[in-house]
Amino acid sequence: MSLLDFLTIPLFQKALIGAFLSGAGLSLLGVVILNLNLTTIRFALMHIALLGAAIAMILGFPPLAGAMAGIIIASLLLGPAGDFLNMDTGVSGVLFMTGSLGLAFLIFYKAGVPAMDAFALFSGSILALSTLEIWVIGGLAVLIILIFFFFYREIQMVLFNQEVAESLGVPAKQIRNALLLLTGLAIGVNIRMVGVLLIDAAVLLPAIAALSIAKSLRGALMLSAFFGIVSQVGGVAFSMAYDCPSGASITLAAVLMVCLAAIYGHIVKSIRR
Amino acid sequence: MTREAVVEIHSLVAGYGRHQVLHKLDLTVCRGEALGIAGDNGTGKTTLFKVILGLIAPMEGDVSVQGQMLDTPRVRRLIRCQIGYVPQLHTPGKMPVSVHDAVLMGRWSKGFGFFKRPVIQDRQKVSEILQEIGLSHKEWRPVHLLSGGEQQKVSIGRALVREASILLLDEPSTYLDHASQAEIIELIRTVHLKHHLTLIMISHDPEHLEAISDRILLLKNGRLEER
Repeated sequence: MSLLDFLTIPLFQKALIGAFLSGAGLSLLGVVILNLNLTTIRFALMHIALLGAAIAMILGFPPLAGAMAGIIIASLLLGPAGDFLNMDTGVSGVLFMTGSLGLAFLIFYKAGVPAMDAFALFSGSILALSTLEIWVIGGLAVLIILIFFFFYREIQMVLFNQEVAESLGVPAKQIRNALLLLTGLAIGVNIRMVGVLLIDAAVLLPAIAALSIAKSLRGALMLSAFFGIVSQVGGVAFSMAYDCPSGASITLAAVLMVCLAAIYGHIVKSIRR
Repeated sequence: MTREAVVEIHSLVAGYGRHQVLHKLDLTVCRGEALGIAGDNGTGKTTLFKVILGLIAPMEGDVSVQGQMLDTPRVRRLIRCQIGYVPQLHTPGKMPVSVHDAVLMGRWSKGFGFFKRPVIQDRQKVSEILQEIGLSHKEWRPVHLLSGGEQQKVSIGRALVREASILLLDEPSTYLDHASQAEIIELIRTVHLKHHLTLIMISHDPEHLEAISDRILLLKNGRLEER
């Protein structure tokens, strides 16, 4: 079966649309994660999702709904909790991560919840996306792009130096908290697409590649979206054409982007010398 | 002739949570004055700046800037438009922000803001300031690739482009080499005179304070004393 034949199958069409939307919108948040030192946030939200799933299973709700609710609540609380505890958001993320993991295991043990059912949430697949999930990804991608478009200068100031942004009158904490919420949502959605272990590939790697060669935040965002689209759509297309796992293909495509960007950066630097 | 007071603080108590850093502090700074504040680490110098900037509300006492009492969040927010702030040199992240954009940030709430993009006048103002601080030739270079002294010039440029009448400088020469320190101190002295600014500078270095200040106060145990 050729790649063109695959494109006629709705399942693969949905996968490609999901990959495009995720690459175009959700990858932008990698720039936020890297600049606000939130690399631990993925682990924190993953464990909070586990706790949410455990609670949902006790209450008889679908574990995915519980996981997403947990992610949303935690994303809203991460920033204010860090401020209250006078901790860096990355550090308060560690507190959330360990606390929720401990609580989740306590619930698994005491309530007799089958832990493996909750853990199954983390093995996402882009080929298993439902039409509703595509709409959710699309809506979130559009929201992220619009927020970056309308609040570009304010986001730039917060990412550059939060203290300076506050001194200029920018509501820096509120903007940071909004970015945390968006990041949480993006991570939650991407968990469904590529699974928890490969989420860095979808969210972080395009931003790492972009930041290594961009000269402005605008450039970094555009390149991040470009690398996100190329790695996600390219990864899915490769997995179809060569019968490989989609998550692994997306990850390797993103790693390739980072390598190519690094090589390009070195070439440009050596030419300037 | 009595000069107009632009910063007036009476019996200020301020701090974080329940922890008091400043105790019954009094301060008056007149228009055009250059005040130097010395003091050890942890004595509350930066806290004092945060109060003047309206970033922390006083626990007790009165604070007024340009004749306006900083007693509501709205006034505290508005007063920031009147103040240029130069923080201590920080290690910039890897986020690429050009010198032009970093200085342009100072126009936020003055020229542009929410749902209002920077206009040509904002950018012209940035170019003028870059000319003045000697960074025109590096206008489009990312800030994180500049030297420490140049990064502090960018901070001073951002404060100047705001067209504020008060300039707060929080240890502007710390972490710089001797040549850059001298250059920054000279720049501060020049812009103070040229723009008729009211200036408050915090520094550990008595030489730097003496080079710039009309008078120097010592912050000790949460209170200001004559040095």
